[in-house]
Amino acid sequence: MTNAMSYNDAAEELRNILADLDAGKLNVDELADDIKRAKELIDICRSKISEAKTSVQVLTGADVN
Amino acid sequence: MSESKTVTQLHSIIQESVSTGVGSVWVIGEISSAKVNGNHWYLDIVEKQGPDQKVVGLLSVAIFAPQLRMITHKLKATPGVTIEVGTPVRLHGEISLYQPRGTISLRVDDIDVQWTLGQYVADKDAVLRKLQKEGFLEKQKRHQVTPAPFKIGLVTSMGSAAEADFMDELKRSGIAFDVKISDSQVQGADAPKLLVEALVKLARVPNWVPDIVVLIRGGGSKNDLSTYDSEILAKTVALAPWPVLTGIGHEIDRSVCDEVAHTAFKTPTAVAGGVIKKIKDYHDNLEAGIVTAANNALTSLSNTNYQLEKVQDRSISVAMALLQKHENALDSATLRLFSQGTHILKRNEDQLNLQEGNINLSLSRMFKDQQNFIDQAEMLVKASDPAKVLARGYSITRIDGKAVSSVEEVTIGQTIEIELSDGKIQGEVKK
Repeated sequence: MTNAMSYNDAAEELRNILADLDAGKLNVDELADDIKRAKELIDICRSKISEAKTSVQVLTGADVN
Repeated sequence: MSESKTVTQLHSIIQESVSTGVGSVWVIGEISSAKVNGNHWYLDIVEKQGPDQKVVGLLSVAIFAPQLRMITHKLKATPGVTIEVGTPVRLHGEISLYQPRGTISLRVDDIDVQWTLGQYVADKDAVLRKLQKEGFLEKQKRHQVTPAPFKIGLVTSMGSAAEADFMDELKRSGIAFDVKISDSQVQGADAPKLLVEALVKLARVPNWVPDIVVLIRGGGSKNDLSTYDSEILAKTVALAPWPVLTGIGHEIDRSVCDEVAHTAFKTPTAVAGGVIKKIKDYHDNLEAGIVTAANNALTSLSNTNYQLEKVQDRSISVAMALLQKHENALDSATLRLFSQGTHILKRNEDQLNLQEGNINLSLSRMFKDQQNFIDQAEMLVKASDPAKVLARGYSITRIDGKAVSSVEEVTIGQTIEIELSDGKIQGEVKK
């Protein structure tokens, strides 16, 4: 499900959640849901970054770490 | 009545008169007939006159055995003179009356063979002079014998030694001649006329024209030869529509026909040899011509080849120099190209490396930025996680599952649910 998301979509959704967190408008329940969602998005983004790094390294041999 | 004489008495008187009045005498005439009776010869000699050679006198001649031996010996010692019809003779003897038949004859006791020979020459010379005057001697020269005369008209006595000699010689050559023989008697008073007819017959062979006509005769007496001194035959030969070659068969003298012929050979064998030689010469010349032509062609080819080789060598040198020049230019260009190419490649490679480095750098930066963003987001999320607040001793109070953030939201007696870090508890609002 989430892996079907693109990195940009996941990052954008994450930014929006972070913006809501910064604004402090969320109640505890909404916050918990957003945090849970944010964690999922972070995992997705990490996974996408890792895949991209691996691809770049395979294709170019360059060390992008 | 005057005295009568018997036949024999008269014969005796005549004989006496003739013997006294004539005595021994030389008589000239042409033999018109010749008969042999035992060891005796009986001839008739005639005198001819006028353009038509009309006989104006005839004399019987008898040569009896004793005289005949001497005369035969004399004839044998003089080739070319024979006692036969047509021979002009000068005979010596006495006039004799043969009483049983009442005929006068000359009883011959000698013959002047030199006179006969002289007569032949004189006759021949007379004919020749006439032919020359009338332009017959050169008429045959107008003909040109073909280089290879395979078709031969042969005028001779069929079955004679002359024919055999001639044909044998042709056969030995191995050349395939086409010979047509026109038979004719070649001696005797009628021979000239018959030979003329034989020549005419050759001209009438349908669909066949000889390359040459050969007139031959075997060896014989001088008198035989006189046939070929005939004016009419000589004229026919001269006017013949083909080259006439003669082989009359006499080693010393030439006949009138020899003089008017295109080419005269001594014997039939010699004629055949001449014809064969002509063909062989032609063949050899042809062969030599071919060889010469081939040699010339080879020389020409050789010269051409030499010239070509020279041109080829020169061309090769020029081509090689040109090639070398182009090769040098190519080398130089290649070197320049290689140098420039290497330089360009190096530059491009550097640029690529740079771009690659830039890309890698950009990628690293991008990944790092994204990593940082995620790390920061995680930190913020963790920091905002209510679980952490709960862990620090905070709790969340809910009524009917809804978080309560103010006391105004609750009433006494309501059941509330309190969420702590490690679990939930329920309570009742007391005050």
